[in-house]
Amino acid sequence: MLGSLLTALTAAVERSQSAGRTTSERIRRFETEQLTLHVLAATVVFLIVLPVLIAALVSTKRAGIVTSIGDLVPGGHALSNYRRALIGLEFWRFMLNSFVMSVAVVVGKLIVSLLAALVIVYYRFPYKNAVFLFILFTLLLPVPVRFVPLYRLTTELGMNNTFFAITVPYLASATTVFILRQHFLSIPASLVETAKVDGVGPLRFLWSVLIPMSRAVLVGVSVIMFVYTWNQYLWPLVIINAESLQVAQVGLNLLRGQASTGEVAWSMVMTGSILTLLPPLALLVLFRRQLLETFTIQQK
Amino acid sequence: MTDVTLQDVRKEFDGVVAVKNIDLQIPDGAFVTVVGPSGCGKSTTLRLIAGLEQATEGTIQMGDQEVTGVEPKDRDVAMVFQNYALYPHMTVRRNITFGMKSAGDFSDEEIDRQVEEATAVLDIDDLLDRKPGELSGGERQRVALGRALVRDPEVFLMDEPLSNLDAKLRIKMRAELAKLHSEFETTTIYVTHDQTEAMTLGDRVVVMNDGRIQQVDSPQRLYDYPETRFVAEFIGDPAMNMLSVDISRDGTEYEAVGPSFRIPLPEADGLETAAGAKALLGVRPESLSVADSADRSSFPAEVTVTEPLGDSLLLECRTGDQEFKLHAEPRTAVEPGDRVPLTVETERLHLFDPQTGEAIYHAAAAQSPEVTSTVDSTI
Amino acid sequence: MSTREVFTDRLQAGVLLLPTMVVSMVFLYYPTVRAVGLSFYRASLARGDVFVGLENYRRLAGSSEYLRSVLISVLFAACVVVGVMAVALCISFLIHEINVGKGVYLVAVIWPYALPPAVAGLVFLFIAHPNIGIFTSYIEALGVDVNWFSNGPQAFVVVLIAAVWKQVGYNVIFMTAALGNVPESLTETAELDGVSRTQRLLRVYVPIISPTLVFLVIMNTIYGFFRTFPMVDLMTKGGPAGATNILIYDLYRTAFQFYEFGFASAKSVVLFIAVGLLMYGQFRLSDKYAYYGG
Repeated sequence: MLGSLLTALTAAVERSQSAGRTTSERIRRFETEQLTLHVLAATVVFLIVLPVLIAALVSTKRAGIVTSIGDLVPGGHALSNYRRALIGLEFWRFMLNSFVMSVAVVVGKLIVSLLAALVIVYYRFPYKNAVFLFILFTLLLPVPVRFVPLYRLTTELGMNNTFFAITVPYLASATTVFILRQHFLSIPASLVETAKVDGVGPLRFLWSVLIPMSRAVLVGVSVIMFVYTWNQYLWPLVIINAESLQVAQVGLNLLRGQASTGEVAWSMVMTGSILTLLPPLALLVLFRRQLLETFTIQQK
Repeated sequence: MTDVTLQDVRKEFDGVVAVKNIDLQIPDGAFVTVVGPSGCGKSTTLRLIAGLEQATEGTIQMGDQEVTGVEPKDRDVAMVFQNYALYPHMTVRRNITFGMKSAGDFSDEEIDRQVEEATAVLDIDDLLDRKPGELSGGERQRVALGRALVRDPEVFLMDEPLSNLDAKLRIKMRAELAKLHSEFETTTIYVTHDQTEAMTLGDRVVVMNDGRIQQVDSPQRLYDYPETRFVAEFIGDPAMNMLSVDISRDGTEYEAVGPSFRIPLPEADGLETAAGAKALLGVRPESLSVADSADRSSFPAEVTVTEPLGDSLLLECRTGDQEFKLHAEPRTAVEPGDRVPLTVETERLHLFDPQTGEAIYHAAAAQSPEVTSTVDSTI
Repeated sequence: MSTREVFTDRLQAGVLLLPTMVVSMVFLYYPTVRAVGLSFYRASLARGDVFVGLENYRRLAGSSEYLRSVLISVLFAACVVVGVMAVALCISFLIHEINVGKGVYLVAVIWPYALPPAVAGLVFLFIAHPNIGIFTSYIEALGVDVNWFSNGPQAFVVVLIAAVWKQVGYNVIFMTAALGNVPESLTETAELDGVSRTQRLLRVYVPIISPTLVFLVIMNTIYGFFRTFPMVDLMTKGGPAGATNILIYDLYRTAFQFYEFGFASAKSVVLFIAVGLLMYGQFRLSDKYAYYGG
């Protein structure tokens, strides 16, 4: 009782004090506060970037051993390291495979999902909700849940070790259909009604109205899907045996083995890591605005 | 141009009946407004005519052709929406021509000529290369109209086209729409929830409620001879007062008897059947006035609220347990709580059946008995 | 009374839906059904399939190794969820409170979303290496013997840190968006009432953004269960002595090191049920918190 009275009194005194402060004092206080926040934020950024920074530094050194902070100076072997990884150890092949796989999956998913979302939003037909649920339910079936039977199925089809195996199973995407559907639902209904009255067909409506009006979202989902596909590891690991077809994620491990043993290996592994990180990172930085916009749709 | 006929049209959505077997005939070249509260089925009716919805029962005819199951594009109608439905990524020109090109029955020269003509009429010819985002609400509205105009359709369908504009612009566009119609004389069906728009624009006004057509008439007749209590209360602002009364008869003299008043009813059709029963007496606020002094023709009422509107003084009054509103002369010296004597303009009285809501009697019918209508409607 | 469903040609609808439906059917539903079927067989590529009924499940229930893997997975996922969300919430709040340069900080913090888990694993393996890691000597100077190649708990922690590092960015994306949607008026009211920063975060913001937090709990759980596979594979191979042998890694080994496809399928079915329960949980929880969502 007494305690709470005391607290209330102190608070009242503090309030009257702060009210009595001059404006310049308050601005100064605000500025030091902001400065502290900036210092904190910069520290956080540094900590998050640090591991990759170290990797980048190591990728410029001939010997890949850094055992103390004093070793963290850039070496002069950046060019030769990257050349050796890409060409000498043929990492370009893994990168290319990853790239082709990711682009194929992104393009395929976009087409397939656009058509599905078009039907789900703009067509009237029986059991529509059931169809939508059928698509959404696949969210419960991620690769880890089904890669064992999928492996058997693909092998039986004779499709293991093929490009088909690392692209086609990824083409159906509940996430993409869902994001597109949400976006289409935010477009006024009167647009499609006008189109209908004017005799504009569904595909022309998709091509001339929906796609141009969905540019940001399409870019956003493309980045999400690219990152998702590029980062796939488990499925290519089990279904691809031929090195010539392997993707960068798994290729990294092969690089570790190939780059002979000893200290050189680590600078090669870090070089490969930086190379593997670059494409998705570049997309994220370039298209961050569209990506963030799309994420806010996904969560709904 | 063509006439449009709806016969026994019914529309259900998952068991909910939106339109309950309506019949409506819209003559060639008419400007018909459809008005009613939200959810009354007016928009659904329009969409049925457009072909955006398919009727559950009944037929729709345009000219001598039945269009009930026909695709919208083959009905030769153009529609204007409340939110204009412009494609935000296309220029004004492309917005206007996009639909025409899809229809495929216009040549390029024809399209150019039509666009030039329509945009000149609407005064938007200097906006052709802009996108909708750079236009004001009024300009977007004109573009939407332009898009409908260039198609040169048989019927214009408009779904609350002015509702997104501010009050001033709405009045201006209203006049322009009327002018456009007198110029092109294309059959126009115009849906609105705003009774002023409905009354000022329509040659004929269709009043709908709860999926049914209440009345189809010219604006003035709708106001003077409401066929149902709903129409009487919906048209006019403030709404017509409804007082429950008993109808007494003394020889050929009829009176509406309330708790504190007896109002003589002029002789006209319907009085005889009403006599001796309860009825609702319909009195418009402007048919009541404050008398200079209490006499035999006046009755007393208590003022509960005063609202000075500038050109008149709106009074809310009470007599017994019945409340009503009236327009008094501006600057009348009354205060809430005052008891004032009121007189009523007896030739502007209406009686309605308290159960069915149907009109039994219009006092003014004595003066103008003829009832004509070019628009037929069955309720 | 407006609807977008203006097209009615069922044949067209069917044709347009066909690619999604066929791929879902063949590569998503069929394998899942087949996993259930296979789980009743002793199946291997070499010797063909033999029906064994519930034998695989009985074996699962009786396997202390598997139970340990379940426990480790749950513990790992729980640590990932708590670690990621605590760190991400602090970072998001920090960015939210900063007045200028928000966008730059945001990108500088969320980029690990694009980081391949395999890269995360290799980089961490390198910098935390017990022998040649850059920080090893400093940590050992503090009296800690860095030997996570043989010390289970240490291995668990190192993989956990790598997993958290990779996932924080994704969480910050959603949290800053949610914080940005908190009405300015609430912040001002709280400030006028003299509520401290931390109190404002915990008492005002967290309840308001709780739908986002629920969503993230689920995403992080799934991440902790599955997406950390490359890190485990590259850093510890499930070891030492099973200390990081999470379910997905265990499943991978059963199928592709021991080639016991029937047994692996039974493990897949268990995973499927776990994912189903998780999703159901999210569904129920977000229903419950819908009030805050607005």
